[in-house]
Amino acid sequence: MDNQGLIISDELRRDSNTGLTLANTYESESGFMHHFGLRKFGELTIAEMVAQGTGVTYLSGVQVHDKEGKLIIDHPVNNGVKYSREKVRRIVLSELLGMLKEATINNGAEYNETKARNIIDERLKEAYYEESYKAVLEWAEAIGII
Amino acid sequence: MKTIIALNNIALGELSYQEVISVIEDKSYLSNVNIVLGSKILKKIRFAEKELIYQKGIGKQFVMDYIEQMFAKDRKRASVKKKKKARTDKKTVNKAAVDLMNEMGL
Repeated sequence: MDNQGLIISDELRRDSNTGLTLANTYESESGFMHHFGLRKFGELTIAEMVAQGTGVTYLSGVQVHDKEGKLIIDHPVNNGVKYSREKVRRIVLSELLGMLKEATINNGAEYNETKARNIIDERLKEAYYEESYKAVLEWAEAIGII
Repeated sequence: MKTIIALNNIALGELSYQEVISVIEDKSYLSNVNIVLGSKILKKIRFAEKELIYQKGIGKQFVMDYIEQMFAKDRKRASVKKKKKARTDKKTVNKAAVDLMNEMGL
């Protein structure tokens, strides 16, 4: 498959369970609702493919696109892997670190993997759990803890 | 001069891991992480010399990654149909990596 870029439908909607902005959705013959959801990470866009059934959500793939919508990372996930934000976050972290490492080796540049891991790990936590953090803070404020 | 130091095992339930560090020119680097079950080393994850500066507990991340990979491999074996990765353009990936490094201040 060639790099065809990011194709987004006109109707975007928010999924509160996953925190994704759903760009495309279709129902398969098996009855699963397949979602193609997006999440911003700085200038990059993380695309997550999930299959939602009754009481279960499976992850079927993760992609990362650059600011122009070109595919830079494709991580297909085999059948039977249950979806969680943390699982996707760890996949993205691992793939981005791999990409940075390869790029610095190719360019003969210096690269501090520990620093990169710490920074990207933190930023990804913000991208994936920002709403949860906000909700906890609002709740804590509402009951007078903070 | 290089000094190799094997640190005490850190328990993670039944599993434990041991960080081995090398001290070169007053700096500590992670040399390898041993994943241990009982008295047996299940996996020795090695790093290149001066690849990673040692920080306390840094090895745990690699243990978790290893366990995740083991589960992924197991699932791959169980899966009948393997999914293929889409092709990416090397120049695009390289540029994205440089942009990301600039954006993150790396």
